[in-house]
Parts: sequence; C-alpha cells; structure tokens
Amino acid sequence: MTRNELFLAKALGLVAFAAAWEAASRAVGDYWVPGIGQVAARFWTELLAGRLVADLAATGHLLLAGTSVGAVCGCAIACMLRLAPRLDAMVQPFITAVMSIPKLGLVPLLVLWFGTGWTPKVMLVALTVLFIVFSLTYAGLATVNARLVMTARVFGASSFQLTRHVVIPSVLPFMFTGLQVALPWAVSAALVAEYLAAKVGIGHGIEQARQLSDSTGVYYGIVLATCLVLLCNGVLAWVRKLAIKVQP
Amino acid sequence: MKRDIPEAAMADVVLQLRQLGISYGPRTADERHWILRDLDLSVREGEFVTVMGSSGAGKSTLLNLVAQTLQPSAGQIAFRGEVVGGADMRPNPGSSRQIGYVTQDDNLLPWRTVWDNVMFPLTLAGKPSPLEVDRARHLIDRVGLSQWTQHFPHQLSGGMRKRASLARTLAYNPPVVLMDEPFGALDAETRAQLQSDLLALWASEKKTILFVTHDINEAIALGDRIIVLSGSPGRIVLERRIDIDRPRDPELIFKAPTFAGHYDAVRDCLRSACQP
Repeated sequence: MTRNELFLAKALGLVAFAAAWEAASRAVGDYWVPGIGQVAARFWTELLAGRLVADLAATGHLLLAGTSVGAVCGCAIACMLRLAPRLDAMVQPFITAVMSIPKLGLVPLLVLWFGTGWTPKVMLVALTVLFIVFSLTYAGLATVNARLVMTARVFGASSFQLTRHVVIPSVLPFMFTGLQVALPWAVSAALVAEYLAAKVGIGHGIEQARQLSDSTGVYYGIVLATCLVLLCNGVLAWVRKLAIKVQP
Repeated sequence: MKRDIPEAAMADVVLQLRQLGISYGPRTADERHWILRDLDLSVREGEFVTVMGSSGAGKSTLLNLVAQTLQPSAGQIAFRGEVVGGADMRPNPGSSRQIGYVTQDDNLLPWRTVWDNVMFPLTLAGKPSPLEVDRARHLIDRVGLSQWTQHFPHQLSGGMRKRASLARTLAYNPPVVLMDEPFGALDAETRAQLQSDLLALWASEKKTILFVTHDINEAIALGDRIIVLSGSPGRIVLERRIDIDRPRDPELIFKAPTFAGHYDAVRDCLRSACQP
C-alpha cells in the first residue's frame, strides 16, 4: 500500500466513524448520544475557558508520575528476581496472586490507607503499570542471548559493561512493549482515581458532567481521554524509535 | 597415543594445558562423568593447531575451558608459563585479554553497526588509542568490509558477518585466537575464500590459533598440526604434524604430495574412534 492509499484508508475510516456517530445521535436523540457538533463545540468552549488544558495537564501529570513509579518498580523487581533465583522461587506465587487482583478493586483500600489526596491516585496508576512492565521485563531478561554474554565476557567486559552493552539493549524492546500495553490501563486507572475525589482532571470532569446529567460533557471527557491515550502512545512510539535503532 | 612431536622443542610455548579435565555429576572423581580427562597440550607461539574429533568428543568444551567460560574439574591452564586457570581457581574470562574467541555463530551485537561491533572489545578497556583505531580500520579493510562499516549485522550476509566477527576478534590483538567451526555454516565458495583470508591474516598478524573443525580437508589445509580428540572421556588420540609448505591454497590442498597420507591417517583415527 502506498502512502496515499494508507492516508485515504485512514480518512475513510474516520468518515465512516463520524457518520455512524451522527446517525446514532439522530436516531436515539441528544440525551443518549450527543451529536459530534455538540461535542466539538464543547471542546472549543472548554479550551477557551482554560479547563481543557488544565484537565489534560492534571491527568497527564498523574499518568506520568504513576507510570514512572510503576515502570521503575516493575523493572527493579524483575531484575532482582532474575538475579536471585531463590528469592524468585519464594515470591513468585505471591506475585502471581497479587497480579490477579483487579487493581481498580483496590481503590477503597487505597482511600482508607492514604485518604483522597494525590498519593492513592499515583499508587493506583503505579500498581496498574507495575505488573505489566514487570511481566514483560521478567520475560525479556530470560531471552538475553547467553552466547552474546559469553562473548562479551571473553572480551573482558565487566558486569557493569555487560549490563550496559548487552543486557539493557536486549531487554529494552520488552520494556517498551510493556509500557505500550500498560498505557491504556494506566489511563483508565487515572480516570477512576479522579472520579473518586479530585478538583481537576479529565476523570473529575466526566464525573461532574454525570452528576449534572450533562451527557455532552461525559462524551467530551471520553473523547479527551482517548486523545490523551493516542498522544501518549505516539510519544512512546517515537521514544522507542530513538532508543532502539535496530528493531528485533 | 601416537606422538611425532618432541617435547624438548617446546621452548616458545604460549599455551599449555596440563592434565586438564572437566566432569559433571555429584559423586567422587572416579564416578563422575568426564567429558575431557588428563589432557596435555602445548601450543607454540604462532602455531596453527586444528582440533578434530567425533561429535561429542569435547572439542567445543576444550575451547570453552581455554577461554575460561567453563571451570575445569582438574588440571591447569598456563599462558606463557604462568598458570591462569585451573580446577582450584575461579574462572575469570577476559581477565587477561590474551584470548580471542570466534564462535560458531558470529555473535555480533545486533544493535551495533559493523564498526561499533569491531570497536566493542577495544572500548571495554577504555578509550581506544589512535593506533588501535587505525588497526581496526586496517582489519576491516583486510576482511573486505570497508564499504559496510555503517551497516547493522542483519543487513549483511552470513559470510560478511563472519568476516566482521573475525575482524572484531583480531582488532583487540589477543595473542591466542580460539575458533570453533567458524566456517561450518557457510557455502563452499565463501568458506574457501575465508580460509585463504584467514591464512593470510594469520601469517601477517602472527597469531596462535586453536581451530576446531569437523572437515578433514580444512584441518589439513589450515593447520601446522592436527590433534584428534576422542572417546568418553575425551583424550587426544592422534597428534600429527602437517608438513605441507606455506603459503597454501586451501582449495587445492589435495594436490599436495603428502595430502593423501595425512587424510588417511586422520580419517582412520576418526573412524576407529567412532567404533568403541
């Protein structure tokens, strides 16, 4: 497929989606499905009022903080367990158990422990990201080519050099895949955290609109959150390209 | 064991294996399973030794022991008279940077270009000197990759990757180079070309080479001496000096007058080794 054809296909998909939305809106009425025009107008008024940028920044900030904490902890735990097989054997069942708890179900517990401030929100996002990044990094560490490691050792590489030049480049694609998989989950977690208690943020906006039976506002929030996911995904893909010169 | 090399002529020995052995299994020395046992081998400075043996005779294990990526269960490894490894020492591969290892796979780092791969062993020891950079460039030239320095391994053919791997190992200038069936997976033409390139490099770089192969022609074409490993546990069952004049043409080695004698001797040894 040429570039133009690809662009055309994407444009057609978008048009079809917009048509279906508009048709649904006409068929069932504004309250159930507000029209595209109404939602677009809401984007414009929110932008002028400064709330769009404020919400996006608040949710983005929460997302960044939570994802960073989760990713760092996930990688650290994966490395630790790979380096210590005994510890690995000991904690592996617990990790599987904790991993299977739905993280959103922990919200009440987090509120009991940490109140309704910033800490429980970051914790929720971090927990969501942690296990996904952990799983991918843990799996990635097992695929490091033992022959490459051996060759580097014969060349006289120290443990640090081995990590820097062989292990990290091998695992990096797995870590990025983990982040890319975790991203939509992290955004969901951030929204739920903001439903709960927040003065600003996309989730707060959606919850407020719901209380006012403002369905246009809810749609606006959902579309804005989707835009945030797409934006973050684009940034991640771009960083990935910069960091990994040769895609395996 | 048949020996036709006098021990006394070994004044300039660079690598010496003394009673080297490796075994596995939890029990006492006699009950353990020995892969190699009581191996004695002395390699002179600048000598090209080819190692042959039936499958599973411990050829690769022998190289891994010399490269110190495996811990010997008995014996010692000496480098220029100094013991560098043994059963009672913790293996420390790369500590001396005296040994280069070209494995069956090219083992290039996929995320580095040819140039960065060749420079990799040099950068591990600090910033390479201009002399070392020149040497690396010269070696890449010698293996015919000067047009390909900015390419990644996956963009090269198997033969080119092998050449890059060879240049990388020679670039940091180890006196001893171990080669484990390096040309095994290549087509006949590429292999013949690489063999003569290797002989030219060996002659100009004055390396000591321990070369594992399963191809008798290759063993005769390249080596000053052939050793054949066999049995369980593996031991040296034949040691034979190859007296064919150099420079040799690996493709036409069968025309040498003494070729047939060497070939038969090695083949007979390998055959009888296969039948216990």
